[in-house]
Amino acid sequence: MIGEEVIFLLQVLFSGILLGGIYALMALGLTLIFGVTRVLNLAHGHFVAVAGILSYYLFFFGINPFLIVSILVLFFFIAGLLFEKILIEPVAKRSHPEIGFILVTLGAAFFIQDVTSFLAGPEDKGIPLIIHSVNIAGIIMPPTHMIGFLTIFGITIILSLFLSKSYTGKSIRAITQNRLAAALIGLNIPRISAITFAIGILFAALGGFFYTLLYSISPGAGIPMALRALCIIVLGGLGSIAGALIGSIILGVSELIVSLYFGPRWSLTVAFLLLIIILIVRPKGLLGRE
Amino acid sequence: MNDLIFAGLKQFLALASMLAILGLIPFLEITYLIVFLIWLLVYIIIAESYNIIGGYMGYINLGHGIFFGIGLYAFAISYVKGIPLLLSIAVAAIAAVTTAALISYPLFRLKGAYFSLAAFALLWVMEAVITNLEWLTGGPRGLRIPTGYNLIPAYYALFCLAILIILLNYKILHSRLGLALVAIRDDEDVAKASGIATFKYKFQALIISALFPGLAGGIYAWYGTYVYPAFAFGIENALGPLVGAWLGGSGTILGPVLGVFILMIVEEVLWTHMAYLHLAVYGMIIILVGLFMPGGLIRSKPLRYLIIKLKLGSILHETP
Repeated sequence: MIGEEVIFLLQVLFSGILLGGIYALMALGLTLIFGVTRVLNLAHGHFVAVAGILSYYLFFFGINPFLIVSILVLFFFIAGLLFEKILIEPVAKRSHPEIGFILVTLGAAFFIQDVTSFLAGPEDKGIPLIIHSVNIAGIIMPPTHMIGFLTIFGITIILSLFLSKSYTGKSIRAITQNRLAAALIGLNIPRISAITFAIGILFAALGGFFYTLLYSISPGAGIPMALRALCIIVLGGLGSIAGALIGSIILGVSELIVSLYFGPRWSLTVAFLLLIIILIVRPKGLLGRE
Repeated sequence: MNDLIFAGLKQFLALASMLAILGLIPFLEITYLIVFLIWLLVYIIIAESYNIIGGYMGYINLGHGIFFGIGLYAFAISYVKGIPLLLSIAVAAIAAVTTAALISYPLFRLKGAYFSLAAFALLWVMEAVITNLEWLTGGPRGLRIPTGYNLIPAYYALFCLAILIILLNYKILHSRLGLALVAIRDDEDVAKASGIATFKYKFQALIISALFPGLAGGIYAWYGTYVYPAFAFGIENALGPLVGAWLGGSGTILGPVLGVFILMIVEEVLWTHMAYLHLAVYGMIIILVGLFMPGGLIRSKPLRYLIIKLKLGSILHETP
């Protein structure tokens, strides 16, 4: 059979890619939102955390995971729409909205974090879904990991098809590429902005669900998540979706390796170091276009 | 119009008497009040120094609080190791300024919200690093600094520092540096194309804005005798002054002071009624400012109206 070190390496790699996949969901949401609305949603990570905590409570009310995901999809799609309509749209109408965007999303982030912490408690929460592990060629693979991996893979494929084939998806790409031109050809930018926000928040929520499934989450994890998303986006290149995917995998694997050898408390520093390194070495990111 | 200035004898006398009152407060011997004012002064120093980067230059440095935290810890570590008082305070300032110099190269490659988020990340990273380097910093339990009771001297030191930073804000605004910063804020690409050495000015601005919180951190550590990571780099202390700056009006000379003042009063009231949800209140304030008053209170029409009605119109002042 395969040597033990190789198996260990493969296991680490696989776990890292899985973690990267979870981060990818979150980062893709952020990239989509930024591409269309030019808002870097500082509250993005908090939606990840809230979704995770919500999943935790739903799970302990006995609701099965597939139903949880459906509830999350509905709830956070609507949440994204409302968020955009109430907080983003009024600011977007100004001539210099950037400062307003930062203020509004930052304020929302703090508000969400504190209210969640108040209601649910600041401790870590994880969903213990225990199914018997499967042994493939010496690699122990928990079914939750496999299901997570396949689901995330599937979601990414769906997103890619959505963006390339559907009218809304193509509108999103058009607005991302050239806002003025998109408006000139008659695309309804406010409507697409709202939908994009909804999709982006939805993806963050899904990321939160899987993260809580595999690890644990707390209200205070919002900012670290947002930092990871930023690291991924800068690493992959501002405005590039493929870059976000690659960046996620790099971050996921790096974080896992560092956690294994140096301890989990250094995992956030990994993200930040990667950010600094890519800024110094190649500020446009690996696949950046802007 | 969006600022206040005290030109003219009447206003100058009013200002001088306000400062004299603040200077004489310690003689009242109401410790609670002095402690409150010390905190207020620290917040003013942090908010006004943030104003240079966030207000004049338009780079919303959410991580501005790290300079205060670094000042706290640099002073604590060096004093505990036996370095004399004044030298330790110098160490605090140098540490803060050096950090600013080091992070400016990578950080200024980012713009807008990316910059803000990365700067914010610095807070978390510093907190993690300080917490994990236990042999140096005492870890999550913090460091005790054996300096004795220094309430009054600390008060006066911070008082002078606060006045300095406010005057510096005025000086910068009317200097070449200030002109460059405002140009960068208005349109960085045009500024660069017009021949302004943007990185040089960004660097200078960050250094200057780091110096004062660093010093304030050193002085406060001297008075407070105890530092721990959540205090030095936690969100409340790191962002409180910034919320004050936004509330009052960043980019003006006195806006941050006004905002910090109002914020601290609100906070004092909150503390006595609500043990929780302070961050949520901060968040709500930030949202409301962002939605309705992005220029802050000092730029608001009602305030301007009030000043004119009170026949104090001559203190109104144009700032870019």
